[in-house]
Amino acid sequence: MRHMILSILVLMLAGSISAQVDPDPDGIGLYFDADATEWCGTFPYGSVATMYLCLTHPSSPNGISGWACSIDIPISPTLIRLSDGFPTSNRNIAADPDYIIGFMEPIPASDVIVLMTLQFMSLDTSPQIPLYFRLDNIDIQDACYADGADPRILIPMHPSSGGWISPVAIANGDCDVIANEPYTWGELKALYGSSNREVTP
Amino acid sequence: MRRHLCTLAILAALTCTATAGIPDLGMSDWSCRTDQDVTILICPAGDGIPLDAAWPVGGGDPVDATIDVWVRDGNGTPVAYFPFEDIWLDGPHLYLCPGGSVAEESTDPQGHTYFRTLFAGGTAFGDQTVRINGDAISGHVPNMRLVSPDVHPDLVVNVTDLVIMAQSLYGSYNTAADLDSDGQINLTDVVLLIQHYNHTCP
Repeated sequence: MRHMILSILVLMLAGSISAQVDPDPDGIGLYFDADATEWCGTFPYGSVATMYLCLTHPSSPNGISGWACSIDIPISPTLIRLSDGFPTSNRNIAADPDYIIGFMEPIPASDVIVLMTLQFMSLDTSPQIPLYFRLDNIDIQDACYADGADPRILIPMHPSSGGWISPVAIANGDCDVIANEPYTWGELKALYGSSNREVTP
Repeated sequence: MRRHLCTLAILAALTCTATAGIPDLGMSDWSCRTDQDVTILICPAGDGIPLDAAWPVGGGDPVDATIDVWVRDGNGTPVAYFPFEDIWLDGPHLYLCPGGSVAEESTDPQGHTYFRTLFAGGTAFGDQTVRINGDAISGHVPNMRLVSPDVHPDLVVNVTDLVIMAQSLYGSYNTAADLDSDGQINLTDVVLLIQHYNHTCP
């Protein structure tokens, strides 16, 4: 009985996570949609899948003129990274996996700003290996974005998972998070905490 | 005796007349509207930070660092309508576009004009000079730090400047790449450079 209640709770939890954008200001996460609602998805065998690096609820009303962050793409012999895309003309002054991006023209403010798109192709046949995507600070620069009107103002970004150590997105994994062996309750709480900070202990 | 005095008076009058309307380096001067140390971001395309919105070193709201120039003749009389092309700002390590630092307009009836926009690259810390017809006039500015995304001063913001910025970001501090004068090289400096990427003299 206890297991059943727990399972129902977890299912409800997972549903609520995937249905809403990280409500906290200045969140950064990888999503399977440009609206920043799906952090869990699949890379179907042989087809192109797109992920979106999104800044959610930017606290600056002026948009952004650049950003810095490190993107930890899981290494897999069956995952091919096809291309990266950016919303406007830019230059990256860092080397993969680090990104220190300046935009030639600021991106206007909105609730969700797509910072970058990443395209993948999976050559993985069933059973697929779960892939965990993480974000991080850069050694020389904490993850942040530059204000659209005054680039001297740098605003820290916070991972949508609640902590840099927790994955911000899972591909080919079980979205019923508890079913994933490597995915612990602590990480689940971090994920939950990012969506519902008021209930985080 | 009286004849000599008359001659001297006539000569003096002639001298005054001769210098009237001609800028005198000793009588003309210039100054800045702020005493604060400021940073001015200049760009060969002229779309940097204008002097009237200068960034105070150490942070804070922009301040008006417009440079005013008063052109006077040898009698101390304002020289009106003196052409702006013949009044320019100069400084060591300042790389100017052709005509890139001339006054905004010709002098008004009070002999006044000003500098607000520069078309230049390079980095110049203090020692700015205002010249009239090529000759320096006396004046004072605060510690004005002119910096440019054209870090390698060739009057175009290009990959060379980006490389210097990257080297400064990952290597040792390069004051020329510190475009906001906050003592560190970070995302802000990268953005300030990239916002002017490919810019060159008009």
